[in-house]
Amino acid sequence: MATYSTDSAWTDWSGTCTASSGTVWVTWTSDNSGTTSTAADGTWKYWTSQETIYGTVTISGENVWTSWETQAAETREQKRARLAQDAINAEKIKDVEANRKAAELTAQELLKDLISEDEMKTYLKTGRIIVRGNKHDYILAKGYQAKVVKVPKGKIVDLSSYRGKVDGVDYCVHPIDQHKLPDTDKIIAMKVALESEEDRIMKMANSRGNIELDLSRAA
Amino acid sequence: MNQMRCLNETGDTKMVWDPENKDEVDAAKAQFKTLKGKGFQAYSVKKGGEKNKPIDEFDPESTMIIMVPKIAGG
Repeated sequence: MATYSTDSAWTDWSGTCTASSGTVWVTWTSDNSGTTSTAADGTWKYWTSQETIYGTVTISGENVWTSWETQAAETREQKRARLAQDAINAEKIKDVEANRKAAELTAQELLKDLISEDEMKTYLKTGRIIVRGNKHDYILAKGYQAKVVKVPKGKIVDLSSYRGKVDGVDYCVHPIDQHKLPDTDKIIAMKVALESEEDRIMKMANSRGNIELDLSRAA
Repeated sequence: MNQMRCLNETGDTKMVWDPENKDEVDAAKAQFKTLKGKGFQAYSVKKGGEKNKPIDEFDPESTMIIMVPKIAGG
């Protein structure tokens, strides 16, 4: 009997096995006694009974052996509990995603109240708005952390029609616990803050250096 | 109706008041104070942004107040 390492057992074996598809598993189980307590004759039967009871699992290539060992090491109760927990987790993730999407739409409704219709169209298309401070203009770009780029005042008259690159300075400044906010709320926060108290906000901001912003592409 | 929007994980929470209605003004003022106590910065805003300003006291005549979580440099 050939000896294969755990990680590559299936790949190694299937690479050398000449059995036809109809007998491949019979050959596999007679070639391999397995590392579980199940005897050779019962190896495949044992595995298939596990998988049949709890549903179909698709495993590819060399992960087959590793996965099999992991699955076989579980008791039926453990597996049932694990799958039940997986289902609960999947539901929770779905809820979180739905809430996040709803929050983003709510934030966009508020932003719509604060900027013009054309600016909102540009924002929805590119993720960017322009903010007019007293001393400078700023381009805010949507993202995990809203990007704040200071640009020369008056350089960009209309963000929707501006094409090309603009030199600016990239700043790191944001609401605390920003990860809790939908992306558009971060834009709103920085917009109203920069319009209202540019000096104080920019004193807190940390420069990340000069940046060339390409406005011909979406954020 | 004037309104206060508090930015949060739901997008925002909206509170409205009629400046002529004392009960509504008092409720909005209390909410304003609570949020300020939690570190929110208040801005009185208008569409266009030119007349936006930070406020420390509740202004019942302000048509829109946006409460923003404290801002910090990264």
